[in-house]
Amino acid sequence: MESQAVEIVDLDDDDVLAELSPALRAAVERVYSSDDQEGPGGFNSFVDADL
Amino acid sequence: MGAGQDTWPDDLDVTALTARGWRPKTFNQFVVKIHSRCNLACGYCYVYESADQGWRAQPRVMTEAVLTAACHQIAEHAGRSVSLVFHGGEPLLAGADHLDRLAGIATRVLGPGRRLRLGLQTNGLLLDESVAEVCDRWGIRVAVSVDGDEAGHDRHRRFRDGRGSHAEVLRGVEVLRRHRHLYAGLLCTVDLSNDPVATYEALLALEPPTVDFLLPHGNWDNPPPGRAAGGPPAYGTWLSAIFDRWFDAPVRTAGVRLFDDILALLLGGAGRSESVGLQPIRVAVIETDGTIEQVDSLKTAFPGATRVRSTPGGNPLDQALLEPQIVARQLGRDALGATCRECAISEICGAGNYTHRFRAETGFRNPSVYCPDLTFLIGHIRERVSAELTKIHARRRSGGV
Repeated sequence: MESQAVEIVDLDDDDVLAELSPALRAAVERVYSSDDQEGPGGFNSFVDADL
Repeated sequence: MGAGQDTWPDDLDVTALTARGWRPKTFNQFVVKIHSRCNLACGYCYVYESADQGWRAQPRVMTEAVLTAACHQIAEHAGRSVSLVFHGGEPLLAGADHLDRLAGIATRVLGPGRRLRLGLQTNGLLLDESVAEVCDRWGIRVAVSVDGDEAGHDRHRRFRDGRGSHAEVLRGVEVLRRHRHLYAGLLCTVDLSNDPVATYEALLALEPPTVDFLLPHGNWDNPPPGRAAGGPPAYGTWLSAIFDRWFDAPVRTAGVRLFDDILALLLGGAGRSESVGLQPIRVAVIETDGTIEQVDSLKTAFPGATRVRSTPGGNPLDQALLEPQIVARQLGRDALGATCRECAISEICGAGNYTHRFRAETGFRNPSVYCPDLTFLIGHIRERVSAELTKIHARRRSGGV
């Protein structure tokens, strides 16, 4: 089974990070943040629950 | 349920698993139903319109005594980080004063020595300044269910007399816009009849910090609308149109949980909801009478699907952790059916929402009924990310910035 993960090189390069689209930059920051539990504005629940 | 080859939960040998060293992860999120009735009659509702009518036997309102007992059970069971979401039914039918008392109990019992997050999921109709005052007092962050513009929203989200609820819901959302620190986001259930980008832009106009799009519940025996076997990935296409609008925005005005999760998973991170990814499910539902159950959406599979057995004595949350239905949702890739285990994107989609995998003959160890849609959407997002990175690398190689 081939991994589907996307490889991002030069992640420690702030210039590369700055060039990413805001959506992708937010994802990179989330994945490499020390607290990947709750982002600002994130929902409170893990549950896929509408009302 | 029939004796299909991939059938599990009740046949899952938890004793053998634990003997091999496997240990469950404690629950850290609790969906607390403080009112079991609703003031809307949405056609797609998984609580009131599904096969399971267990809500009829539940008390209407959770009492302070029930919540106090539940919070003590949580305190004994959980670790240092606990998320508690006031839910329903429609939780605000309990009234602002009762919410105030319940949030006070939760904070007093669970707050000391713990990172406690309180949330509220509401249809927005009763959201007013008195509710905002209570939420502000206890730090309760609020998410509202809105299905897009007026026509899209009122297609399903109606009162019992057939009137649409959009205008009244927007009045509730306005309260959150005045108290932004309480505004968690908007949840939107997808309907293929609605234009995707118009739906997204209608939500954006309400300035939410986060939006999420939920696929309507269905399974292999009761497929969702427009999801015909062998048919085109209509939901995947619908969501991809929104993804492009969101991904190409020059400024990030709102997160979209599903897209943020898929991007994170593609980059090697973890998901934060049960829609995608293989992270263990650590959520317990507490009914208005204090009973522990699994997530409500399972009610669309078969009557009693959310039930968790308990024996007298001991902490019911500790007991629930060793129930096969709960264990099966903490095993990640090992719990997937053979088709998914062999699939290249299983680490990303995680076979989708557990509810959507159900087939009476084989239980939940199947691909999602939305498999073609998830495959399309994840492939689309992966291509967009790869194209963006290629563009950046090419620009840097050529010396441009």
